[in-house]
Amino acid sequence: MSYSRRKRASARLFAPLIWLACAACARGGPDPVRITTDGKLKLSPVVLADGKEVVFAIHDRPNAVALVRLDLSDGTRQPEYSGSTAHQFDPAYSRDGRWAVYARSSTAPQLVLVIHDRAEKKDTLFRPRDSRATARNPAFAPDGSVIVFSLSDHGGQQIASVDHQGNSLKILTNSAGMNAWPAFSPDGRSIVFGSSRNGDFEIYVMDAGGGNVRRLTRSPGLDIRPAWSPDGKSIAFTSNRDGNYEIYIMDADGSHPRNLTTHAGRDDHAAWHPDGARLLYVSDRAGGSDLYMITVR
Amino acid sequence: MGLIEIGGDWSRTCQGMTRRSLLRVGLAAPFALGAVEGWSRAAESPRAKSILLVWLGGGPSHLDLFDPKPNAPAEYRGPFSTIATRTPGVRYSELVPRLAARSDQYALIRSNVNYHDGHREAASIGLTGVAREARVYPPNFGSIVARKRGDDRLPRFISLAKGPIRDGVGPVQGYGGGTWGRGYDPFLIGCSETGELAIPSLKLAEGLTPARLADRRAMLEELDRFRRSYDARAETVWDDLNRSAYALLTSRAGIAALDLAREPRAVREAYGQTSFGQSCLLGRRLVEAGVPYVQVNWSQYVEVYYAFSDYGWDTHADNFGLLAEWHAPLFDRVFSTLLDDLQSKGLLETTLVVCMGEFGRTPRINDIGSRDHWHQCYFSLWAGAGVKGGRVVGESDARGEFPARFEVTPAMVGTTIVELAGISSAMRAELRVLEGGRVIHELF
Repeated sequence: MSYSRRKRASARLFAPLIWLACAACARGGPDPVRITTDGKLKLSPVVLADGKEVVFAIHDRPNAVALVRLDLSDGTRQPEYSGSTAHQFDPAYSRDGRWAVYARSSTAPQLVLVIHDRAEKKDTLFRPRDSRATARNPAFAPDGSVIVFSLSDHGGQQIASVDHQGNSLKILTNSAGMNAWPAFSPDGRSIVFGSSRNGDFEIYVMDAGGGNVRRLTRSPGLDIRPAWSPDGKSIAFTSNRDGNYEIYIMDADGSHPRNLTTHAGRDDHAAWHPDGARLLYVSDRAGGSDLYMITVR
Repeated sequence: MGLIEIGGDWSRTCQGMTRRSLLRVGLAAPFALGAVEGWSRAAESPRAKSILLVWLGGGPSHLDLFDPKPNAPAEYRGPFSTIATRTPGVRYSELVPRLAARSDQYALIRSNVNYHDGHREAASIGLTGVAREARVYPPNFGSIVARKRGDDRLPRFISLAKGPIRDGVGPVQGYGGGTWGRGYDPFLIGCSETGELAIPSLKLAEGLTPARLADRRAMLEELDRFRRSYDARAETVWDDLNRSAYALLTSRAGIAALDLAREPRAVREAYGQTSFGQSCLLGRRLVEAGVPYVQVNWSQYVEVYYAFSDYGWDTHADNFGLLAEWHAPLFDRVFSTLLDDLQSKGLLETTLVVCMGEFGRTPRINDIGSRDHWHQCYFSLWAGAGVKGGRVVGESDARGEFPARFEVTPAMVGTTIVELAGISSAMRAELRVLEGGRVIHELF
């Protein structure tokens, strides 16, 4: 069966489920809604700008984590980058859809950034200096001009930025501990990130060029993987302050944190839907690792 | 019944299986404990009917899991907070909350030591009890147990992995029979995240499915006919296969033990849909069926994300991100479920569960914000077969660099395992294994 025929056949089966799920979320219906059911280990999902597709990392082949694209209208999937046997993680896309970036295994144990020009179908690599170093968690500035990421290289793990050519490397933090999971505010003026500079992982915000660091969370456990809402008013993140991994949301100044998921399973890797009303995340609440969508009330 | 893939190398002519293919079987399928001479009946009244070793290849960070050092300097302690456990006064990293809540079910050793910083050497030392690296290692603890325990119904030493555990350079020499020969290697079974099984050591019968196993008598008769026509060396190999490996696949007990689909859905979900999770469930089923020694491997490779590797614990880079994202939540969930499951089935009384890797990781964080190999102090977890839950044995120093009290050597680990399995000091002396080792009485 050809891909297009498979896609149509799958669409007939899957579309009603996806439609019900999305409609339920949009009207504030029963939450959360399960988006996938295969149970295979998943990481770092993103909802693309049109809200119709999702890209995430999945461990669905022996010895390989790869990025796949899921069409929310019919449930069909296809590899985001075919022909590679390397591990692929942490997908991100520029707002205009022109650019994509992800972390990829290389000469082990190094992880490099692959910056993909989707218009020219051309890849550019950013390779850390140390052969053991890693670049992870990339995110685009709203205007697409800069990629920020966490860089574990000489000098510890810091937030850094490069341009589309993987050049103009700038180290934006210079602290003790680990700095990771950077994300721009929608207006491009600030970067939210996680850091253990004061002992354990907390959420911080800094100016887009680095500096003026302010602490947003103060909890006894880890607060990680912040994601700024499309309207700039809220930040979602993962916290274990209540005993296990849950998705939390707080105001952009760090106030009013609240638990959105409240489940004994692990809820992690929150990503905003472009409508700003929903969050996609990974949960193992049903045994396997699957994508769920929850309405943010 | 779930899918079982059994190799893919049965070269067959119109007259039947070729001699060449049979010899290939011999090379590829070394498990042969049932037929090796010197076998004795089960040792008398072992405290542990079975050993279940959970092997965390690559070297899990002791400081970031079970031996946190919150008061150490920042360049040592790492980014994770500590949480209380069920054991008064004992704290773990925040990454293992479920195991913290079950600390009364198992004992923790915080003062294991090894003698080498290389994966293959340290794993060989850790799994055989020898005191130094060697060209050929003595037999694995599992091989020792298997020589004296079990019967011919089931393999006696099973390792759950797609192939011999290894790093990117080569296999761990001490994974099997060592100086006793390949006949004492473990029987390998790979278990996928969905519970599908692959038996790489039986690269024999392409298309040998559970349905075809139903006709096993005819199959065995045919194979036996071939056996009789080959030379003595091949015959020995074939006897080994026929008596041991095929026992698993052709006996009702063996087939049942392998069939994860017989488990309630809730149980399978509790273990989670990962290779490690389903392997632990399979390990419990094999123990339940009476296999004397089962080694469940976190991964086949120690490396995390080389192009070929399968997320081992060798976190030279991004140790903290990886532990928080992948390794620790998965391990916390699966190992907790395993303990609960063994407990609820009444198997903990007669099963010794040991969980460890070949070493820990450098207490001092490296220059790229991660941790490297550290063999001079690490942890292990022990449960069942009379081990006192909630006990912490040994202690590391203020930075987790060296044992501050009660150094636990690989020989002590091995001696304790095989002693509980019924291999007495007299037997060990007779076998010339683990000589000079002593039982870790502090666990009981």
